[in-house]
Amino acid sequence: MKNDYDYDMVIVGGGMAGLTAALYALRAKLDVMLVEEKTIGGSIADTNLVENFPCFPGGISGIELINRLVSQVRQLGAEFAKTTVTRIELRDNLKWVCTEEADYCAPTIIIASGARPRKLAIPGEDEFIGRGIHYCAICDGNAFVGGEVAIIGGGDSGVTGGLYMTRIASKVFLIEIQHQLGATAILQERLYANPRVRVLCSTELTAIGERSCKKSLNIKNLETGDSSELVVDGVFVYVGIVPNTDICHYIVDLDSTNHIVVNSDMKTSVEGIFAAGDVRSNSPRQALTAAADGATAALSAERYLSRLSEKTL
Amino acid sequence: MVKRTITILDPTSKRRRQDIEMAPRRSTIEGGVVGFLWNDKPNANFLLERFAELLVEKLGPAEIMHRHKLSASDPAPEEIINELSRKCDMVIIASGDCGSCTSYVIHDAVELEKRRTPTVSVCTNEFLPLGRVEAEALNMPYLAILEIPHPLGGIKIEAVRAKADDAIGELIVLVRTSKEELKERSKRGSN
Repeated sequence: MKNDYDYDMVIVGGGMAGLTAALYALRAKLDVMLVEEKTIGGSIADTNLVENFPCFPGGISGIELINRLVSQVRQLGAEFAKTTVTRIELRDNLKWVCTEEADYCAPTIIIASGARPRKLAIPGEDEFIGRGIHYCAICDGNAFVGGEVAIIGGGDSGVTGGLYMTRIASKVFLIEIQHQLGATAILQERLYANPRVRVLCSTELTAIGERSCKKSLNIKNLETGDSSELVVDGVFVYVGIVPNTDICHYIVDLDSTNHIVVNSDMKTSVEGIFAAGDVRSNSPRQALTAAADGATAALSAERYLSRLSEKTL
Repeated sequence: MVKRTITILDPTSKRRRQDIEMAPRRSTIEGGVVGFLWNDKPNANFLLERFAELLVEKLGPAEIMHRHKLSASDPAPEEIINELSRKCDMVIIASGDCGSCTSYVIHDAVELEKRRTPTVSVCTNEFLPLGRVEAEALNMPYLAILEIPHPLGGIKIEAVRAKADDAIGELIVLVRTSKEELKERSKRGSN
């Protein structure tokens, strides 16, 4: 590209989608900067075992998958920046990724900023975050060796977190507000077969308190309307995600849940800006689909750059 | 009059990020203050306590200071970083044994190094490659990282202390290594 830009492409987010986008863009000999605020590898780096990524019978640990991908990307000369992206903006007819460290200008941007855990938004949650209330069993689960824990949320993430905790805790209560779990059948089967697990469906957690250094949970049975107390050592919350679109909500179109609207080429409503992974609308939120999104976005961006080059010649 | 076009070229290179200078390191910590920052990861406290015992025995620092941050997946509060930087000649940080905690162990180390306090970060072998990439992305690619075998959490305290005993030799090497030598070691592929 012409030298008006710092890079051909800036990728916002270094999870599976962002890293795969970098892989494809670097193989196309594009000049790429990848910006990540938190952990390179994203949530996969904190996943104990990825069982549904093709080619790995028996599964592969999340960190091993990320180590391999990062190594592949680094061999191609990837440039990473660890800094907070404050906003994405269109200025002087150019696209800018503004960070706490510097502003980067590029003709294409791939937003792969992922999502963060949704909070319960109930009394006591904020007070005990990091002190008995957690959002990642693999990160913080070992603090509860031999103890009793509650998992809030019966989707794939909650059930996977619950199964992980059965190896550490003596008892795992899985609390689901719906009348049945939403997790994949094979995960549910394993969960129900585990003698350390007790599943409480149609149950709502309404408040969190403390009792003798333990967490006191007010739970309500939605079928009977009865409330009761459940005392555990720790709580892991898996009630969905919030897309990280604060940096771009004023530029690209979002859907009703604040995910970025894309077409099948991962194009957003702004020419030259693409989105991939958990941040985009209707994402299946799988490592594999995030990788596919990243590849699609990078290929689309490459085509866009080719057209742009032709125009400027 | 003949109309001429003048093309102005910008001779500057594209913006590129530059490495941040690491803190100068003393050849000895004898008589100095060594800080230990526990990131709340299970067993990392026992590991650091054992390292402290061994360092006192082998290198004779005058004082040991332990600090604890409450969340492994967040940066250490600035007051802890500032205090450690103000009072310590060297800080050992543990542990990087998951994705997000590795990220923030390295982040905390870089913050201390920026304040001219040398550090050694402790990561398990599974998370060492991530730690290296994180250090590079924070523009401090030659950061001193001590590798210990994974896992650290969920094992008995005796096993944790044994890991510290096995790693103390390498820790002492990293504590004593100059930043120039760390750069050379990194280029050779050593930690």
